[in-house]
Amino acid sequence: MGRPVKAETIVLWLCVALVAIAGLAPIAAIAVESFWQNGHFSLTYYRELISAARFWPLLANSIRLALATTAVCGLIGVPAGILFAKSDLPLRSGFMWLLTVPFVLPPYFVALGWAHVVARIGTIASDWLFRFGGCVLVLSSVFLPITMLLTFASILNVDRRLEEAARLASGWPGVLRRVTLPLSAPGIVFSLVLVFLLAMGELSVPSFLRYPTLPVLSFTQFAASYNFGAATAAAVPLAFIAFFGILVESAFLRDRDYAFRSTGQTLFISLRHWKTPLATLMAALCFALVILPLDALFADAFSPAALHEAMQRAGVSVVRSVMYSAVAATILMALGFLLGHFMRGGRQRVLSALTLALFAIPGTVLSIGLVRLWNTPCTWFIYATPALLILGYTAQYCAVTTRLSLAGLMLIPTSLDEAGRLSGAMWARRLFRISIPLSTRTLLCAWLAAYILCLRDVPIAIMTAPPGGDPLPARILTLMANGAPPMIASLCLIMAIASLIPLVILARVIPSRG
Amino acid sequence: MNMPNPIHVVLILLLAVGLNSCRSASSKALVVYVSEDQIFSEPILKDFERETAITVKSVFDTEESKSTGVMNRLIAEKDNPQADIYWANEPVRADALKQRGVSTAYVSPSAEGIPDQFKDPDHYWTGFSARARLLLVNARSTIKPASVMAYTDPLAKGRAAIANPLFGTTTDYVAALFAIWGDDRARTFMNDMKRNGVKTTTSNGESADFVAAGQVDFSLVDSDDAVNRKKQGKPVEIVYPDQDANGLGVLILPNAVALIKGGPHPENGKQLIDYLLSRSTERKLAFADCAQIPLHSGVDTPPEVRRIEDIKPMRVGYADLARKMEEIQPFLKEWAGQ
Repeated sequence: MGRPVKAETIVLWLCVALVAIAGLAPIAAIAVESFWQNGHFSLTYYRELISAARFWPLLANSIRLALATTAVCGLIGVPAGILFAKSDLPLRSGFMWLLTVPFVLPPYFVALGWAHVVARIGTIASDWLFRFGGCVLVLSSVFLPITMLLTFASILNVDRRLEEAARLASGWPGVLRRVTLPLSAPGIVFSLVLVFLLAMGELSVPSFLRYPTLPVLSFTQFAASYNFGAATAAAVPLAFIAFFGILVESAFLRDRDYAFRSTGQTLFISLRHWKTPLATLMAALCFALVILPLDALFADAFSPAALHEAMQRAGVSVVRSVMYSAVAATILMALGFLLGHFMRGGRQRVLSALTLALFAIPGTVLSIGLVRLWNTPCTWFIYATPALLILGYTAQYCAVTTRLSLAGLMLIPTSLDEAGRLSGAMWARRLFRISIPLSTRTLLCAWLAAYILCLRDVPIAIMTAPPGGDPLPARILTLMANGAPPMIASLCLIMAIASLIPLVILARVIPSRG
Repeated sequence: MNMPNPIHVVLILLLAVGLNSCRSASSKALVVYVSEDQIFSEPILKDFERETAITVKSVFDTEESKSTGVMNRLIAEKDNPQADIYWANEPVRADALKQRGVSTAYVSPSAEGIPDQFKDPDHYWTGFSARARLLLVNARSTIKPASVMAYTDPLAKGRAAIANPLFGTTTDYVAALFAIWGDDRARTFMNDMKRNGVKTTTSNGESADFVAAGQVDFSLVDSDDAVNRKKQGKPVEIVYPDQDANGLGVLILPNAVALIKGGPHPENGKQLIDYLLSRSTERKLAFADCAQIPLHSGVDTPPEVRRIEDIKPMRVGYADLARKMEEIQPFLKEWAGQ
């Protein structure tokens, strides 16, 4: 008789099965279809794509945009993260949360805000925005919080004793260069890879600002031609680049520790006479990247007539968005926590790569796969209901909750689990009595992060929402065609409030230092 | 205060989502896929809901998919239809559904009085409330075009715009030129227009904005874009082109509604078709911001909307347009540099 199967193993495989159903199966379905034409194996879609005159320029545009966005986020986000984590800069908490605002909004909101700004300036500014430069500006302000917050978190977790020892022999510039930054490198590199992947797969901003990229082509192939094979073929180069990004990250972080471990108080840098200039610089940055576009976007939003029309047009969509995002966030929190738990037990490589790959794949591609897989008479209960949307969210964002959970779980001493095991407690009992109670803050953070990501998602919302069940970002996008600008502004404001409420909760739950 | 049990919260949320999704299976529901702009079509669907107590579940197109996203979704769902009705913003797409066996015939009593030119002869779709392809001219311009031939006039060199002919109603217009003039003359016209430095824009809305801002002198746009800029007080004039006795006429692009074959709620679908084709719906769409032209004669219109009986329309069959559109795709891609 074989060994009895452990509950832990069953739960692990159930989690993997959920990720497979939500993400891998749809990707596999369209991948197969892209090699299949008229009942035969064929490379026609790929041949047509590569031989098309527009393919290489579009690929180059996508890479150029992703690289430029990553560079800007690195150049601004990393120093900002260091300043907020290690210095006595005045109002640093306020600056940090303000700079985070664009990330919790759908990216095309920021683009729309900038469109309002340049409309006041004139044609030259408009010409500049509706090109490469405008795309980089918008995507950089949207993704800047990723590098800033991950740098912030990584630096807070550097052991202060090492910095104190280094301070005996060197000034702060040297300590930062030789100790703090190298020890924070895993978090910083991870943030840059994330920005690169997100910028590569971004659809709404290049589409709105009319900058042609591969995700735009892939979406058009799907939405305007419903050509699954061609749409997948257009997305495959993106998937390859995404995998390459993950490989680079894995190679760089080999044998390095990801975990954020609290080491008590952080060692501070006193800015002295640099305080005022740097605070002014940060204020200017907040004004340029956040206040200016959002003020322009929301300028007309407060009129009672516009707010009334917005609520009439999209009130139900607000409720739906909150509901779908809450359900998906709850599933993602549980899934991420369990996957994090298993990854902590040493099964990191495959699970980590799998979830990160799903995060890196553009939402349009994932959605195409979901529609293709589930549009059958037997599976209407998935295809014609919000279940499809929630599956999409689950596949796309489980990497985020998994990594957050893993980081939180690393803070719990393994000795507690070992003590439970030695006293005869089963895996489930140890999970419910030790890991979960000690991870309430981690779980809340994971839930809130997942909720925000689901709420602001555009590609999955547009392509997988059931009839009459469109979430708010999708509804705003469809109403934008000929909708009155004040009403659109009010809708954006409502969306911003729905996104900012959890951010405020997050700000209260996670003190800026701790 | 005790915190609510998280398991209960999750169960309530799942139940709420489940109930929300189950409603569509009810017999007092129908599913409609809509290519007409949501801002204009949704109020009509809401009125229908109010008057009939039938819940309407809609899927709307985004601007990015150039009004073909839901049509293609219908084609993909052919073996497992989810929709009862397709409300197209022009008849060519509706005719494509007929060719692919996605729609089915229905003779609506409300269609009586709509000219045959705007109906499928086999009743697979019926037109209502139309847009027209017009010339929008900047009021300060010295060029006063009366025909699309103005695009090739040396006086208009670099001073005219047209939306990308690969998409939307501009494709319809170019296909109509090919159908009426024949391939050679239409190709020559398109190439002459390009040589004359026409600016290609991403949409008719952008073309209208260019005219309103004086960046170009004139552009071919949809009537709703033209009326919209006029209502905004922009310095623009609307010209119905080619209205002389030997002129081409104006391309009229009605909305079209089609019943989907095998849809889950066919009887409710027929009720919506009757409602959309009614004179009262045409009146609402004429007075809405889309300013569409009623196809029933004698329906009230605001001053800026010309009645159908006062317009000389292009004589072209929409099925011919659909065929021509497919034929000229390679030429258009080459023309547009894609």
